[in-house]
Amino acid sequence: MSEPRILPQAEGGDSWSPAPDPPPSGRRPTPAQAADDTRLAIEIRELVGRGAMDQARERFSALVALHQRRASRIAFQYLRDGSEADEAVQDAFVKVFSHITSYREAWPFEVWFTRILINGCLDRRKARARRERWFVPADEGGLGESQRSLGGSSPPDPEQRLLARERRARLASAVDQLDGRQRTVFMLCHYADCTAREVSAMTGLNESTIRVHLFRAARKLRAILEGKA
Amino acid sequence: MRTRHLHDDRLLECYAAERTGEPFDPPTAEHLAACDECGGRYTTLTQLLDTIRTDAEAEADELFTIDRLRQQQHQILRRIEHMGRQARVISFPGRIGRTIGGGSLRVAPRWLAAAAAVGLFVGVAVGGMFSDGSGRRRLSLTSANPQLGSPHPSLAAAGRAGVPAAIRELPDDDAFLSDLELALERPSTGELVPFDALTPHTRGISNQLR
Repeated sequence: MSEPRILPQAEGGDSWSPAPDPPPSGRRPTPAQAADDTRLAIEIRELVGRGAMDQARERFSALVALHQRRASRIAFQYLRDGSEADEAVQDAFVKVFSHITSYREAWPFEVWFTRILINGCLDRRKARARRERWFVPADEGGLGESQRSLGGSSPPDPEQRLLARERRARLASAVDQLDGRQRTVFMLCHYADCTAREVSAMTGLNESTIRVHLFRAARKLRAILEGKA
Repeated sequence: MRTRHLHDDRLLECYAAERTGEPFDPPTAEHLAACDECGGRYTTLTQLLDTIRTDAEAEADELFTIDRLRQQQHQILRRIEHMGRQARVISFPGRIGRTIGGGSLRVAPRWLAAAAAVGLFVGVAVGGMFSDGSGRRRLSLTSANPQLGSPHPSLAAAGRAGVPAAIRELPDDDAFLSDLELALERPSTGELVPFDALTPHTRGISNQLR
């Protein structure tokens, strides 16, 4: 089944600077932070409108720092490939900056940004499916970036690490078995912490439909993971 | 208090409400607090969903380390660096004339300019001849079989934008594959699908060879 493209698209320094008040462990910003990032986006929009590009870029750097971890997690869940997720996140931010003048504060910045990000991910998935259909993958059988252990927070014990990797692979494959809409709704609600109302704004589906998709997704996941499907 | 047990959908709704900080439906909350069976089911469900979530986050965080996020931010800032800046105009051929310099080579810029103009003229003329030929060929093909229509809608659009013919012939992979899939889905080519199924694909062959 082809994946639904989320939209209609919204109307439209080189130094690393940490987020002014970063969300804990990359989770969704608190309401106060969300209001801050919306204010920041409005400020950038005005700076771009006035032609003060250097200042706009400086402010944009803070906005990137605030959202990039969450964005990377979402993109990775969609694409299951670190490099591609990285590119998708970069593209989304560049698109946001180039279209910032069309941002309207009717919705929080986060909703607008997530919509752009997820559309980019869906386009990439579609393009990948096409490539896989017509071309032989170059490194079939090789370990993908997502499967390689990069240290970090993985358990030190090799056995535990192996078990964790297997469990993650099983979960990823279960999520991948959901149909397009179910997967999108599940990811937005579960990984991106969006409410049904926000997902409704992003997808154009009504809230009750979103709830139904979410229930079905959870039921199906449970069945797959418990070996009933 | 409710007498019947809570449905799974209701439990999931509670989980979503708990996550987003929305209040529970009071009768549901009461039932959950009083009924051991529903409480147990709710715990199992939240454990499963929390595991899915924490595993997914841990997996992504292993890949996206602080260093990688820093690089990502640098990359983004580099990409937006030139946005909104005016394009620079590079003077030609005056600069080359100056670098070749020398009193005896004073005429060189004029010769260069003349050669460039002649080259441009010849290129445009030859290009025009070729594009006319291929255009006529394409026109006769589509008029002979009107059902085919434009084989590449995206290319047709590119043509309208006045892109030279040579570039028009080089669509990117995605556009090409998308056109191919569209063509396969058309009813007029439905009879070709069995042939497509009979035709060995590169993927199949390479799998057999392994």
